[in-house]
Amino acid sequence: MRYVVQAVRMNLRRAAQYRSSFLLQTIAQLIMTGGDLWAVLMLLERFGGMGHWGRYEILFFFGAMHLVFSFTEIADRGLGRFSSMIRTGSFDTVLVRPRGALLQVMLAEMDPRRIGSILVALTSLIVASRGLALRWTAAKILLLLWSAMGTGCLMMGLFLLEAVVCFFSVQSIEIVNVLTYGGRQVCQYPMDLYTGWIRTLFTAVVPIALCLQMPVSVILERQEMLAGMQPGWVWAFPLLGPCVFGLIALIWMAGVRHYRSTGT
Amino acid sequence: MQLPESGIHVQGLTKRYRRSEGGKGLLGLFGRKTVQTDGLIDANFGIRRGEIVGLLGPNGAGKSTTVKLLTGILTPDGGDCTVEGIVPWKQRKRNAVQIGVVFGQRMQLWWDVPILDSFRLLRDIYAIPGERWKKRLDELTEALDLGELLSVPIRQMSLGQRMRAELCGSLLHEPSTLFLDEPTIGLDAVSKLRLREFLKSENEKRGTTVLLTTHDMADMQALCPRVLVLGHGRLLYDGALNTLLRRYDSQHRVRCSFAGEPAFGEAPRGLTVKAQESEWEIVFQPDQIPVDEVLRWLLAAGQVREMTLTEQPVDELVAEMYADLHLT
Amino acid sequence: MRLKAYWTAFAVQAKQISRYRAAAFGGMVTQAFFGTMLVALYDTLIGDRTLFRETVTYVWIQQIFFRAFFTSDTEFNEQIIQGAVCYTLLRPVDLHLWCVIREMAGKIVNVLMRLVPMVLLLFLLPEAWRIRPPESTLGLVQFTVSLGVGFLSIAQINLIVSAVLMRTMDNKGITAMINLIMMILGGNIIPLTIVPERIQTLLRYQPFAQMLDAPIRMYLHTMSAPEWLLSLGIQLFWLAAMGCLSRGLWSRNIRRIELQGG
Repeated sequence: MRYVVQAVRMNLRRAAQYRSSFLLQTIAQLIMTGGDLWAVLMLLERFGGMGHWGRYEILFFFGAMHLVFSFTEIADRGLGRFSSMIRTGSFDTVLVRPRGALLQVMLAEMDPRRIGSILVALTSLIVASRGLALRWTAAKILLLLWSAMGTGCLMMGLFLLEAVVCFFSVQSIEIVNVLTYGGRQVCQYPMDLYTGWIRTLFTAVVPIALCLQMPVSVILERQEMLAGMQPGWVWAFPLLGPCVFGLIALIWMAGVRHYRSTGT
Repeated sequence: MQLPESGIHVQGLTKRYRRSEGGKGLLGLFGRKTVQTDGLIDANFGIRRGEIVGLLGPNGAGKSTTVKLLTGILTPDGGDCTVEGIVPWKQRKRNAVQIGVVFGQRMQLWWDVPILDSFRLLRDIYAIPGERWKKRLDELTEALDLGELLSVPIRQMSLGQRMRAELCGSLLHEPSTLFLDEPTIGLDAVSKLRLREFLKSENEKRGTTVLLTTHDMADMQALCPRVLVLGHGRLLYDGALNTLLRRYDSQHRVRCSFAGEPAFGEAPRGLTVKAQESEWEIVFQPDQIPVDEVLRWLLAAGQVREMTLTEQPVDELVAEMYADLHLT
Repeated sequence: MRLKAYWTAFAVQAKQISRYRAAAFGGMVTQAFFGTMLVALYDTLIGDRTLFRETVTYVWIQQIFFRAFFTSDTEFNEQIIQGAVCYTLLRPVDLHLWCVIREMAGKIVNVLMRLVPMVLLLFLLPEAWRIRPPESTLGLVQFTVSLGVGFLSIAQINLIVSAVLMRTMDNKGITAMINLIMMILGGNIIPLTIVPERIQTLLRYQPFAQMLDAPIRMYLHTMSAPEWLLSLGIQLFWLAAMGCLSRGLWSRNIRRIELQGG
């Protein structure tokens, strides 16, 4: 535990080292999420709402997805940088230390610059909640945090999957971005705007719709997405996140075994 | 089979690399074939606790493979090895606590925070008790002269300073065995000498076992009474460095200068004399001409003012050895 | 003779970039995925079918030429950071022009590598989601000419970024920011043709719309000669402006390096 605390502290100090660059990159992050927000606002401006969702509801979905995603990125940039760890051989130094490799890799780098994205996401959540005059209850707040945590685990699992790919090929990691960054891009809008395999993919395979969007729709007091299900059920869905993470962690361990037997 | 509890023991250790090789790009996904290269084949050796042993061999001979196997990074294909009674690849974490590793070509300390922060993190990674860590850190900063560098990040350090910091980092948890993979690469003469001195004293004071790979023969001569020579993954020699070098050191060179002009008698057969400015260089093979005969012949020639015996440069000897063992 | 040197620069860079075919494939799949997601969303949002087909086509052209937004010469930027740029200064060539040519070579190869497989990939989609052909052959010609100008102005922006890089030695912040602005104002994040009218007229005249947005509009609707010349004129104006800026920054940097020895 002390190790975790120390590693977090060290990552923060590192960010503080390059202050001007840190500021610039934070602004870059702000612009990036701001750009996505801009696109959403333009579409809302032009089309009023989206499907049966009003503009503030859409904004709420947007904020929730980006908030979760940015927090995940702050926490485990190390997984995202894993390919370079393999390439430069610094994964070897991880293996000569008396700690779990996964824990070390996850703590190796954090990315506080995402605070820029978080600002944008929070702002849109607040604006949306005000615009909807949303009645916040303890249960709703709890549900939001709960589903955010579950989705966070899910996203970490996806980043981990990206890292697993690095064990076998350092070249074609970009394809896995489809699930992480693509997932974020798709799921900033409620899933029922999509049809066919896209909806299946992000509901059944990468269950962002279940972990995050269904709880959010309950918070927004809209039942359409639940397809007749009791709203109480959505509390169970965020558990899928840790399950997916666990599953991928098993694959990761197989990946480490592969690495240690081939020494690529 | 039970291997002894202390030191390093290696029995029949084998590691082969399988690499899939195929076309480039997309087409490479299909029609790949697997190519095997030998990392290490059937290696047998033992290292007693407190010994300093050098691993010698040309690039790709299996030195790094050996280090990676003993540090638990790689899993072998066959054979046994233990480090202080622990099987590295089976108990990677337990092994990690008792070994220190320095890779000369990659930094393990964090690049852009003061090294003291890195050392604190290492303290927590290795779960070193606070006081013990403090004491050890003081000791090491003193010995490695790191006092003023503690608040400096690695990226602002010279190569020599970096290596000292790396060494400090890998010794904080008081490992009983230290693995050094080309630690002196790129260092200047002063840094090299310092590093050697430090390693020697660490070894003497704490009885740390040291396994060292380097291409620098001066390092080897200064530190390692015993060397293991690897080539194409096979252990080719295990023994004293000097004995090994003497095998190839077939020539002796004597440089001497005379007061006045020397009058050489008839030179013994197989001996060559060269005049170099005011000096004379005599080259002979001691197994053909006894040394005392050469000396007598020299003394008879005139009044010898100075005389030095120079050996063949070690790098040349090693090159000769590699050629002899078909390693080049 | 000099010309030959520049041609060689072009050829070498083209060859260099074409080695990254595997990465290009990965990038292409990602691009296709992102495009499909956008198209799926617009399918629900845009009721007007003609506008939808146009938007789909806009999205796909953006995705096909997406890679051209970024500098293809990352190696060179790396050199700048490591200070090895002095070696390039040793060559008897106009450095700025040399770099423009390398950028262009990289962009063209990057796009060509992706073009054919991407178009093939698009045929896997249902018909309504595919790119539609240009309105006329004339439109295609207008598009191609305008695209060339667009690429050149992207190259100028890339070079402005590396000029700033030479000064500040800070890579990621500035590059990332400019790339994002290019993607947002260039119509990659959302087609500039579907933002509300008021904003759209403003957006059409800013420099980033001259890169891909202007050519795509010609692809979608063949322009009359005066209309086309006006559009091309705006493109050329911005190209000249950015060209001057990047050249100016470069020659100042080079003088500085020559004076201070890097």
